[in-house]
Amino acid sequence: MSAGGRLSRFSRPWVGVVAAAATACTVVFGLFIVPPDRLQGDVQRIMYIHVPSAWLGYLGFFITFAASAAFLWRRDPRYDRVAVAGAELGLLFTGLTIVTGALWGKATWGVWWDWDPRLTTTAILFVIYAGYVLLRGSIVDRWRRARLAAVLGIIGFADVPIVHFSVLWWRGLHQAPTVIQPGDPTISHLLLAALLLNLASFTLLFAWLLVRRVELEADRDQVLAVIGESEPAA
Amino acid sequence: MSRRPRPATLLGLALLSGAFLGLVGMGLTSALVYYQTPTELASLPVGRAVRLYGIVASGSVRWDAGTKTLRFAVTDGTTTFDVTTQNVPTALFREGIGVVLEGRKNGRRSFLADAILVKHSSVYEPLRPGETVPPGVLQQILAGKEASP
Repeated sequence: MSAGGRLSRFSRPWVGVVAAAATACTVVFGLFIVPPDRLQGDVQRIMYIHVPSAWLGYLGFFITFAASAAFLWRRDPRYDRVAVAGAELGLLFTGLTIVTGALWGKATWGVWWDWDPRLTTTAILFVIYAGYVLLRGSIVDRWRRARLAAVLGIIGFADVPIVHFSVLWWRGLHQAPTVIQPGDPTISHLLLAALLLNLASFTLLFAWLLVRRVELEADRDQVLAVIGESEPAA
Repeated sequence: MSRRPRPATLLGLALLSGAFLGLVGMGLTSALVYYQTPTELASLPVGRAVRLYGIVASGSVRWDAGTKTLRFAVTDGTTTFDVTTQNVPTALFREGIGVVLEGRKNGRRSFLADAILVKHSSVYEPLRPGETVPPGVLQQILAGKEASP
């Protein structure tokens, strides 16, 4: 098993069970134990899912960026497998960010969606990596697919800092960063604890899914090698 | 197995994409003005359709149940516009909060809004024991009361 090795220990089902249990605990913490926001009320609790999802979207695309660069450098198919896993998970969590953001937006702003700079750049980010997945699906040759996808995986990442700083660079509807900004987080420590706990459990879930996805891709490569569809790892 | 791209090719690609993104960024910065402030809107002609951002002036909110019209003023501290709308904002709407209004300037210092989007800050504070979420104008309207003191 080329991709397994050190990672396989992390892909055991119990890691997934622990991740799911941790997520369930933090959901209970965020929904029932932490008090509501004094201005927004209970609807602010969406933040505990929305913000970690956004960060993990960034993380997924960063993994794709780094793995794509490593692939172009080393030409090792293992990096390509990590790149596709990062992009798909980035898409999953960015999609979750958009959906939870729409729910939060409807309750506070009054609209599900608006062409505000943060929302628009996030939509572009989603489309870039949806394009990445489509590009991969459209190329049969394994090496050509990996090479072209790596180029898109690197260039596409440029939108991530644009998304993050959009609320500072341009006027918009979305509020400025609460935590990732110079200075103290403008959130009380109890609420911040709920946010960080959710981030931790979501990250565990993310890591488990990432490893499983990389393994799946390795298995797929092996099957394709056996049936002679594509050249296996060098 | 294909050959590796030459470092010069990679450098060229990086420079090109950097320049492209820089241009896009500069274009967006000048073209993408999401809203106008009351002071900026004051110098625009009457009839202009824009998004207007301002703070809901304290003591300015009036709800007319008969005509289902909400009136309030938005300010940036320098210039104030009187807003008229038949749109109902979310429960977060209250005096002192920032709002983005979609609509048009219909007088020297008045604005007709088709949509009210209530902005919220990035400050989060827990509700203290015994405290309740302060009611917004929406709840007061639903309770059948006048929205103003």
